[in-house]
Amino acid sequence: MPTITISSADLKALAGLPEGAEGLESLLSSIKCSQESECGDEIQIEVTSDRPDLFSTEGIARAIRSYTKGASEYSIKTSNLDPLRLTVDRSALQVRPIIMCAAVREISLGQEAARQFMQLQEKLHKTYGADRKKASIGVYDLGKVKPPFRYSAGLPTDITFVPLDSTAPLGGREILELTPKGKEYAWIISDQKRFPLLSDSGGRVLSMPPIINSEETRVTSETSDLFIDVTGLDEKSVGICLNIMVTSILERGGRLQSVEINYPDKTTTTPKLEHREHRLRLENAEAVSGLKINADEAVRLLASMGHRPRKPMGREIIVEVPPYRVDILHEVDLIEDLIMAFGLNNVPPEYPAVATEGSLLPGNRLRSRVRDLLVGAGFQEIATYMLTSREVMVDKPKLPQRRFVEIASPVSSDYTLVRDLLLPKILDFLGRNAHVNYPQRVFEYSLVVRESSGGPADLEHVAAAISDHKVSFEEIQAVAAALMKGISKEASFRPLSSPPFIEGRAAEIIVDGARVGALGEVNPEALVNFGIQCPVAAIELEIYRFIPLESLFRG
Amino acid sequence: MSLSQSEAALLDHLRKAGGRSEARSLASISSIPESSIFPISSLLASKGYITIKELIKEEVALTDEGKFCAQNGLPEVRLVALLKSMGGRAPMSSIAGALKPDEISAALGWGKKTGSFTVEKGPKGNEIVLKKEVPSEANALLGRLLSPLDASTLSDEERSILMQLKSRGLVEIKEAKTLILELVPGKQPAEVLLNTMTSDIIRSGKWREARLRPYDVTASPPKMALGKKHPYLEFLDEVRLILVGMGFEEATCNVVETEFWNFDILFQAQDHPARAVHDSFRVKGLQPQVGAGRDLLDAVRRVHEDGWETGSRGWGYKWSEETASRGMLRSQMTVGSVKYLYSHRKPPVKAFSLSKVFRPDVIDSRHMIEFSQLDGIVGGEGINVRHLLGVLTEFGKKLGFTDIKFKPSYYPFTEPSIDAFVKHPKLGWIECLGAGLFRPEVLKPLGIGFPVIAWGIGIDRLAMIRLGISDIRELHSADLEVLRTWGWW
Repeated sequence: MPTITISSADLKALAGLPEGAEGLESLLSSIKCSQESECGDEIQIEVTSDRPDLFSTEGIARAIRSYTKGASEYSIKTSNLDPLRLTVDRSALQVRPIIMCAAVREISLGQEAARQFMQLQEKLHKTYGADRKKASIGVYDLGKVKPPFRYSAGLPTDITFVPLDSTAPLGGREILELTPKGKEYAWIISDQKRFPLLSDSGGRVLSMPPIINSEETRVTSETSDLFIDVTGLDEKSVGICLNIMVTSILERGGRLQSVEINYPDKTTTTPKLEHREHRLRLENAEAVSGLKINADEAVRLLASMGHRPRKPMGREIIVEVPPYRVDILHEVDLIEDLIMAFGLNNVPPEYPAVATEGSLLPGNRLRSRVRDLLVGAGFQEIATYMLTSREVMVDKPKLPQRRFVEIASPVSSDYTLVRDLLLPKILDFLGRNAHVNYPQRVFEYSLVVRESSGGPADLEHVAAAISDHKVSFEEIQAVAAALMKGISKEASFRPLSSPPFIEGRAAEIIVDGARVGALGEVNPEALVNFGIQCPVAAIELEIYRFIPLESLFRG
Repeated sequence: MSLSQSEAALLDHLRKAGGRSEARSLASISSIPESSIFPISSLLASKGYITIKELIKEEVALTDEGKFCAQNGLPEVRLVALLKSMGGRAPMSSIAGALKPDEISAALGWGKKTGSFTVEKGPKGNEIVLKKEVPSEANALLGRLLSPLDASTLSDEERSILMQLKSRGLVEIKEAKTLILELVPGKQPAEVLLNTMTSDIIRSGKWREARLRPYDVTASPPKMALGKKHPYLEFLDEVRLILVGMGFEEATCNVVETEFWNFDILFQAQDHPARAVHDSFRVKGLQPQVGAGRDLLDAVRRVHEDGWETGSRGWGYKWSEETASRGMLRSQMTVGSVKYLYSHRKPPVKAFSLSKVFRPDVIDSRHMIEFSQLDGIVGGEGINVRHLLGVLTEFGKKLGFTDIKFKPSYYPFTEPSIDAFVKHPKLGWIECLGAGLFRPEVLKPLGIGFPVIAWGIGIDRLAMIRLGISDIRELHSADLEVLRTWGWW
């Protein structure tokens, strides 16, 4: 979830709250924002990723105004100027095919507003823009350029302009290699033959999307007219980013001027800021919320969330949803707004009168039994991570190489794959406790993931180990036999020659003619690899094989 | 006064020895080592059961020469025998080979004194002449000394002969201390204290007269490592029991799932930022199968692309089955809930899933890439938000939290979505779970025609509070000492 920083005074001013207003935190939590911390005038707010309209002070203020006044507070002023024009060159379609633009006239941006728009731009890039790949936003001083604009893609060698924060003109490739933003976002376009380029009628470069703007078109404190572009790969993401930018900026004043985009094969005008209609049936609202709601109340509640509900027709309301509410996909989204407006903590909880039978998963009774038996035998239960490494599972215990479920991009070399046995984890544990008093008796009863008919399968295993200054095969063999007796099974043993056990001191455990596990004295080479200096006798059982024993009246 | 086992044993042996014995001889007839007799008898004396006397004894022993003489006779005895064999007279020179010079002078001195033989001048110089046979008392005494003898048993006369033998270097007289233990008459031994109860004592019936030596019960006992269940797993079992008690059936899903079950079925668009909410671990190596029918796959495709029959607008993009088929480690236990719904399409349903989930993160005291999550659902005709709040309030109470409050939130698969906070007496409000009603976009493709409330808890946070630990990694502590000394919670 994105976290943003805003000025409390600025928010109160925009929201029409008195300077000394109390209870801002609870007000914020009513509109889906949560205040994380406060430091002087600055407050940190966690917002939800479905509500980009709350990614800046302007949108939050708008939501608070509606909520406190109980009426939609959204309106924008449009200029009476003709739309600006932009031509999309065929070359751009291959690289970054979508562009949408808007202009805002007669606006003066203070320092806090400028900071908010930069933060908004950054949060939109991170969320809806997939880190600028799917959508990236540029804001320019319209007074410094001459429309109409041209969006094209040029050979890096043909591109040359002074990028933001630089003093000398650089070529397309140089920008990627030399500027900080170029290095950060080069991955998006560096494998392209041509780079996207936005320029004006005089051939002046506005930006090389999605990397960087030109220094020449920089927005300053003197800027009164803004030009905004969003380019990208996906029409929906690009549209959302432009809508949110423009509706947020217009909260600070100014007039909107649209832009006519001329593609080789079509023409559109952006931004598209119409309300969208959704139908709300009170019957559904009542079914979801469990509340009794009459039409008038529903209208008031919806309006306080910034919607424009029309006059109810019986138990049905057509709701005009403002363009910045990109999260409203379905009637249930409106119902949520309605409940939010009602106040979640005003909804009386009710325990559902649904009669059901509770039960645990198969295997639970067996698990409980076997754990009790091992605890009774003096073993301490341990809980290790399922994630581990090839070093623990293969190298140290000298077990054969095999296929695992492996993490494609691990975050730590200690956790690169999912264990398929417990015993190596137990040895790893003993190795970390070589300084603790002996004898040590430990066990783990848990899941491993092993290959079964070509795919991964979750299976329950149990493993136990005894370590002391002197330990014999018989000690662990006795545990195996007693454990099997404890679940009404008879164990027999067959010689086993397999790591990590000592040759001649290991056995397969046979129950009802089938192999269910292995035990033995652990090879000193493995012990040394794990940093264990005392002998270890250990057992691993495929305990999941006994889950069918649980049925109470088996034959 | 009570006696220890060893004190009683010594007393017993002393009684059998007639009530009086030397320490050394007591050691030889009992199994008590001589070195232990003194300390034990001192204790007995201090308790008034025996008296100890120290006795100084003169032990007479033969020197090497004395031993020779005792076996072969004193020089004078040998000289008399020699004279007799030579007819009662022998020249001085002829006896020099049979007796050493100092023996000759000692023999002649005795002969002169007793008048047994004299020295006379003969034709070839001095001769020794036997006059009469006189018995040698010294020789008789010497013979008796071949076995050890207590000097105190000798008569005064014998004693003066002994002193002569000593002056002739034939015997040595040593002083030796010895302890004489003697029972105090009339003192009856009291009860005997045993150090250890043994099966012998029980079988022989000795326990009837014996009493165990009392221990210092305030002393620290030796350390002991009991076998114990892991506290974290016990907590999770407790949570399971609470839910079973509330009528929930436990469900599960696989550790390795496809993105279809982890994301797509939950209406998390393949290209939507919500998918970034759960940064996930894709897997290589073993790959899972989707395991969903064609109908379900097509329904999910349509829901994502245009909303299908759900009344939703969908996400408006081209859905990819290939993306949905990618394997990953499950990042949320909600997978268990939807898989349960897929196989339980008739109301009512009430299920929970509790197991490990996996998400990339920077590992620190609050974040681990592997942790437990609890997910629950309640579905049935007429189920609504009030029921959701009711279930959460009740579950919170069962966990021990009496105060709960709610806040609107966002999860891509629920609408409305809420977060719940519970009040901890010390820590204040804790955000502990996310919840909501499953969206129609989730339920419809699964063939579920009734509302379902769902909630998920990062149960490790509650486990940490309950177990009183501050680092999430301690839930999987690799320290055996910590586990051995972990108390109750």
